[in-house]
Amino acid sequence: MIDRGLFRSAGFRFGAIYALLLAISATGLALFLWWATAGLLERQTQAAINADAVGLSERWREGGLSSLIVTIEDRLAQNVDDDAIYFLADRNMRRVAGNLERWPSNVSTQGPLYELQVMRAGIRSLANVQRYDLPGGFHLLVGRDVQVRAQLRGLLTDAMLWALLVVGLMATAGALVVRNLFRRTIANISATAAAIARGDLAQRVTVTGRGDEFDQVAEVINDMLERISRLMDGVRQVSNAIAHDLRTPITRARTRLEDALLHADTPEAMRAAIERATADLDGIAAIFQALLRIAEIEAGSRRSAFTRIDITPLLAEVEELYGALAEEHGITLAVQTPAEVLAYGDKALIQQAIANLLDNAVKFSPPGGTVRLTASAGATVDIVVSDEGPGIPAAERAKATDRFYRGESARSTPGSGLGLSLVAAVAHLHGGELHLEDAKPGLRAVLVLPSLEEAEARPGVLQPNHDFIC
Amino acid sequence: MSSLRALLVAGLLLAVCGWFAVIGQQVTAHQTHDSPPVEVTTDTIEYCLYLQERLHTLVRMASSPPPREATDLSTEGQHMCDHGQTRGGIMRLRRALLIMQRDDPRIMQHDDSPAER
Repeated sequence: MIDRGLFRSAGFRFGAIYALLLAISATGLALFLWWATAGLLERQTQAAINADAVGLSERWREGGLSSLIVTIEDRLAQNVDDDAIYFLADRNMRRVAGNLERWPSNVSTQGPLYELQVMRAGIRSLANVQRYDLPGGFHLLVGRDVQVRAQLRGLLTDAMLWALLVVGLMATAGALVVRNLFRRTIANISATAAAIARGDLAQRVTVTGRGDEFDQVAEVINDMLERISRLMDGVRQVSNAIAHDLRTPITRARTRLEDALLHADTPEAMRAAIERATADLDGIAAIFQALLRIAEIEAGSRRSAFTRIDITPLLAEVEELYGALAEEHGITLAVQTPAEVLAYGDKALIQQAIANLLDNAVKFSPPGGTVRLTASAGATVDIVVSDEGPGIPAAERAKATDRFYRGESARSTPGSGLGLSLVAAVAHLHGGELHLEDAKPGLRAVLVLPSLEEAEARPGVLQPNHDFIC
Repeated sequence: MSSLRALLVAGLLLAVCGWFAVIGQQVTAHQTHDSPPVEVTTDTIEYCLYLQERLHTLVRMASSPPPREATDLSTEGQHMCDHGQTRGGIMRLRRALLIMQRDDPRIMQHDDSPAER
């Protein structure tokens, strides 16, 4: 009984397709060779008989019976190839001319080509003959000895059959090789997938370096595994961060409430303690709100709100908002933008990202310092916020966009460590990036967004709305 | 599986077409194997003598002596026929006839010789 699983195997199918292709190609080639050799000989015989018959019928029309007899005798006498067969018979099928001893009894009708057994000098031979009925009850037989051609055809047939056998063997062997090759290639991916299923997330598909389709698949799978690994690390890190960073304010709120319960003597003292605890809990709620917002941005569900926007008015609004705060801290806010900076994205998210960058810059700049906000449009849309604060050490910049990251210099300042995470999430949502550089002194944060043309050319982008949102 | 099925169908069609193409050429030639073979009379010693007689007639009718090649072939043919190699002898006599008719157009009896096949 044939295993049904065998037919479901892709390796078997590839092998079978290879064998079938080879067999079809070989059969096609064999048929063409047959047509060009044995077929050609048969067509030549038929053409020679037809041409001969036409010539003889003309003789009959021109000179009658006597002319036809002389012509047949002449043609037989001149037949150097020794293959001509003629027989002219009267109405009683008695011989009038030709080189057969009698009319073959089986050649009964005009039209078809007959294969006739003849004896030539005591040796059996094969001839193809055709019958033509002439006026006056005469009958003409014209043919050719095809013994040599028949032998050649037999040889060709034998050769073709042997060739088919060889092709069959080659197809089977080739199919096995193809199946094994396919299995070996897939085994790499299969082993990696099995290891990951067992929990070994560090396993990767081996890339051979040949750059073929299997390497491309391996690279895509490895990229996918890297991404999954990063996401899982992120989840683990966020879980740890939540447990670590939220424990303090929750404990503080609990302590305050407990302290009020035990020691508050007056309603005013109790109210004050509850208000402080509520403020602590509001801070925790704000952190959760920010986390949810980052998750929403990373999920990409906000892309439906994308449209053409002009960045310049956005910066003006943010400048207005943070100008007063900067002034309060004794910091100068310098904004430099061209008349128009076009981009494609979510206006509210981009504005919030810029606000986060400015908030950080104002928070960490020393009094008397300057915070610069610039925007430019070229191959990309760059929004740059630089300050003169302590900056972020080069070794920590890569971690700075992780959730709850707080640098050494930020320990003493209020914040949740989610600001840059949100900016990075907004940048990724728009197909851009957030670069953190050394401003010497300070930090230079560059929010890079794709140009308007590039963003609109991406697949899945709706027909652009030409009304700019400012 | 669809590509495999398509290949199978294509292979089957090719095989059927090929079968008809090969067999079709043979079915036009009706088999007559059940009847006894018919004797060909141009492989006999009588036909050899007939061709020799025709050659002698041509030589008598010719305005000039026959070409050397024709004479040699005629002699060789007669010799082979006399020694039982009838088909070889007949072939040489036929070639001698052709040479004589080619070189002396006045003795050409007919000009409807079939083309070489």
